[in-house]
Amino acid sequence: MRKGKFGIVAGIVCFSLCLMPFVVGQSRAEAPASIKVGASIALTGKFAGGGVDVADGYKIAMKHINEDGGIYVKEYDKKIPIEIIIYDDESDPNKTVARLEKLHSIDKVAAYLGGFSSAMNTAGLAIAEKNKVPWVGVTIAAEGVFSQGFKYTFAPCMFSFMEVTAFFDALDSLPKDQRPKKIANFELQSDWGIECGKYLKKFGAERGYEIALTEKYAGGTSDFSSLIMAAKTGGCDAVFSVPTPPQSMTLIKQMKELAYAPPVTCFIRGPDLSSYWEVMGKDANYILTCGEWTADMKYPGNEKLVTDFRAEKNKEIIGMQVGCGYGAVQVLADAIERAGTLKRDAIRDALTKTDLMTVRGRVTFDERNIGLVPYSLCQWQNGKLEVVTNPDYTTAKVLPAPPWDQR
Amino acid sequence: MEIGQFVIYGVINGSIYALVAVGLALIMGIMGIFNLAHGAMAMIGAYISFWLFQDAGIDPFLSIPISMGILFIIGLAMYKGLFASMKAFSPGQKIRNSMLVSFGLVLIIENVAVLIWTANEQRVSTAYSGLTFDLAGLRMPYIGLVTIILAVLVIFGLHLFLKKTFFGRSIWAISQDYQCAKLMGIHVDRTMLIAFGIGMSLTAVAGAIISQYSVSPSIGLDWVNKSLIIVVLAGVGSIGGVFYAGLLLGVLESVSAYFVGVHYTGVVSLVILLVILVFRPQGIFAREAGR
Amino acid sequence: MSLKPKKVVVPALIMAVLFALPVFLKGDYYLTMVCSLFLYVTISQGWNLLGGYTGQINVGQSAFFGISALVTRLLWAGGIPFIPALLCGALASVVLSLVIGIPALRLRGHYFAIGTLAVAWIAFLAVENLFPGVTFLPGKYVATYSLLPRYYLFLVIMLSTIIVVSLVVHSRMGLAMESIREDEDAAQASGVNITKYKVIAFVISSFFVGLAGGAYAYFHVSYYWYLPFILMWCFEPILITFIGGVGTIWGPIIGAFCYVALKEVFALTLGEVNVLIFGAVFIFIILFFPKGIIGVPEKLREYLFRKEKGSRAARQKNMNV
Repeated sequence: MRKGKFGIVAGIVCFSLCLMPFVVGQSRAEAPASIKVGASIALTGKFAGGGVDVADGYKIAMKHINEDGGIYVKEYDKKIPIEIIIYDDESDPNKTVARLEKLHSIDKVAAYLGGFSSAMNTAGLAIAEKNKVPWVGVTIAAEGVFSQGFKYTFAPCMFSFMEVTAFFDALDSLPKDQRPKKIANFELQSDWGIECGKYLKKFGAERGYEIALTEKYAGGTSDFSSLIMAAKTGGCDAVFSVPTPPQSMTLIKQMKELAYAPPVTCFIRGPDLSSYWEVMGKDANYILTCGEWTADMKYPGNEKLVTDFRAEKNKEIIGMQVGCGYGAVQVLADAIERAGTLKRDAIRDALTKTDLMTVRGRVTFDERNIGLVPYSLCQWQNGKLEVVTNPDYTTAKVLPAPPWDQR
Repeated sequence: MEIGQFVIYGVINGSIYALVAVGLALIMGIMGIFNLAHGAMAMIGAYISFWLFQDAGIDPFLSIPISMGILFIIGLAMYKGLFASMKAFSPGQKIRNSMLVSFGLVLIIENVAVLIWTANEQRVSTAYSGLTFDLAGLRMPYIGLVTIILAVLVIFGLHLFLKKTFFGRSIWAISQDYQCAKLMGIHVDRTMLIAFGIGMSLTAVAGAIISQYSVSPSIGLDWVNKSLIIVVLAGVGSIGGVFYAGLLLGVLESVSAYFVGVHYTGVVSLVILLVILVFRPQGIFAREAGR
Repeated sequence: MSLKPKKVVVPALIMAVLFALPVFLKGDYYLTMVCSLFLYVTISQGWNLLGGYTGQINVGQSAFFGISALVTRLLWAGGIPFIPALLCGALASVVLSLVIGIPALRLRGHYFAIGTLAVAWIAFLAVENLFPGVTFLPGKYVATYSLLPRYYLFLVIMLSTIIVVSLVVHSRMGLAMESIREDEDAAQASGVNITKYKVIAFVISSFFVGLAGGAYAYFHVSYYWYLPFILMWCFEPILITFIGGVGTIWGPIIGAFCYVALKEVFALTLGEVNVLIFGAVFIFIILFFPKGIIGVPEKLREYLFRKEKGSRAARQKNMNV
């Protein structure tokens, strides 16, 4: 099995790289051969789809940095290449802990990059805090996690309050006669879903929208007919939810079957799958979803990322997390350069003062180290993920959805 | 009115559960092989339907014979390579070892699927997906109707096959007493081999339907758990009972959503299972108690 | 039970090494891995008492592991000192085993297995909905977090599990339990109170699994509340015990060691295909060592001395297991 052999060779190479610290040493005067950064990402298991995207984003960002010679570290007065060690946590938060401990105590990384999805990241950023290693990660959206007073963890990605704000921005952008008034909240019973529900009520009241209905569902739910029927009979003309990709597919299918077509449907997470249109066809039209990053965004560096990725992977479609991961590396590299040293505390301090334009927009951090990134939503329009809400620029306006039989 | 719509979805979902479970009922219930990879095989069946639809444009229902054929052959290979050596084990050890081997198989199958199709969700979107017709004022999706019909045909077809044909009755005979069946002149090895292949090929039917909802490499485990519950609820060894058990579970889940909310329907159906087991420990349809 | 010198000295030596181990293991990573190993040995050995020795296949152990983790975490993070919280957690697990066990143990074979699986699944769904977020350690605990006490906690729990299970198994109780496993009806006809011994096995098993759950809650800094309830906690002890050698004391220990160590080495060295290769190795082990890893010496002996009549006898033995 060629892949197995390749894996073994790659493993041996990785192992030798891991032995580097013992060979190269950590003397002050002598610069290390590379800046080591570590991550525990879901490369296998349930979350492998997004995990592989995040890993790809990290790797291609590092490649671009190293093409330039690396990061300039003032302490050694030279540019040092950056290197990432990625371990598979098999979509299991228990393993995330073990992998990060290895990266900390054996591989002695200067910083962590995050993994994919809240379950693993929650375990990971706690270890980062305990070990006092700076952590920069994406794909975490529940701010409860960032309200514990942790100092070492930074997340340059959209959180629940930003997503809900962007949702209301999208609604506001519609002309008054087409604007939905009654919103149905299909509330996933997770910390993220419940937080979104909280903000929907709060911001909705402030901005003049009624949350007419809140229907709860769980991670394992696969039949949404009761929620859809409730929303339909309640006359709701907008729907908001944070379903998983398979749940979002079933939701749309059943909305079509039950002839429920609210003018605005906003599903964060599910439909941001890059192959969503390919898989759903025309039924995906008009769905609003997260707009953290698309291949068409005009932020500096994005074109290079996109061309390089397409050339390397021979794939037209690029997952959203590739751009988010790339942005995270940009943030970390910038902080290391401003810190001027590879000491973890200095990198952490430098991170708090971040003000950087990345491939996904301008990134700064608030006092909780939550990334203040552009509030951005996209909408699937005729096969393309158009940016419809974004402070910097948009590629299309929000289109209200017509009834199913008119599409 | 509304409850009626719930019942329709319940019947559709129940039919899917039953279709996935029936292969396990044959392989585990009758042949005594605990195949944890059963859900993963349904997943492969779904991917085969997806692949035939994407690359060859064949409608997922029409490609069922093809995917059944492919899974039949894979099933033969699986049995010959892995489970045939267990034919003479005692029931306890057979279940144990087949469970362990199939666990390893799950890991392999799921990761091969990721390598071929990536870990992202895929789905077969046909022209008629989402379309419904009117049934006494309620909406019946076309796909749902076909699902129910397929479930009835497959399950009761298998039931009759096992009861009426010589081959079918040989399977029963072997499961009851391996040595005796051999002495009676039944070609036991070949029978078991083909029976296993049949059990696997049945998951292709379920797979064709699942592919129209969504499929990803990791869905197997949930399907196995569900199938186990249904096989036991029906009564280990019962084939026709799988249909009713599946339907019962599906309708209970759907209707309970009305009362407790969708996030608790899973709990309701499991509680009902427990209640049934307390009063009828052998399952609803099994003939002997405590098998 | 005669105390042959070998029976005491060897285990005592091993225990001494384990207690001294942290001195030699430099780095949190190794301590974390060993804690994980101890955890798996504990829950597998606990399962082994009910499943391997008494023959009641409990596929719902995650409910007991989880409820203890939940109770321990709630109490401890709420301010109660850890040891009382841990004991409350283990108590919760025992209470649950009585509540579930007494009705469930009337079920036999497959039905008991599926019934316990249903219980575990219900527990998971309920916790997912009732506790939908993350549990964090209060800041002061994070600041003073040290792996050393956690290592010793896991070690003590594992050793006590092995010792107690060992004592039970070698006593008259153990004999009763094994007779239940071999033939429940015959045992009952011989006057064994099968319900009593099944419940005792269930309670002891749940107690130690509960201790492991509490230690888990002590170990992790932050995790989603539902994490100790996921169904993998049901399946892994069963897999480990079976692959090690069910119904033996060393089986779960060897199985846990192989399972944890192999998985880790593969994950660190093989990249994306690590799980695939692990699956292949797993299958290989079972096909060639059907009695589990503990049967390896016997199998090797059989293979090496194939010419003797021993091989026919061994094949005969295999069939009548």
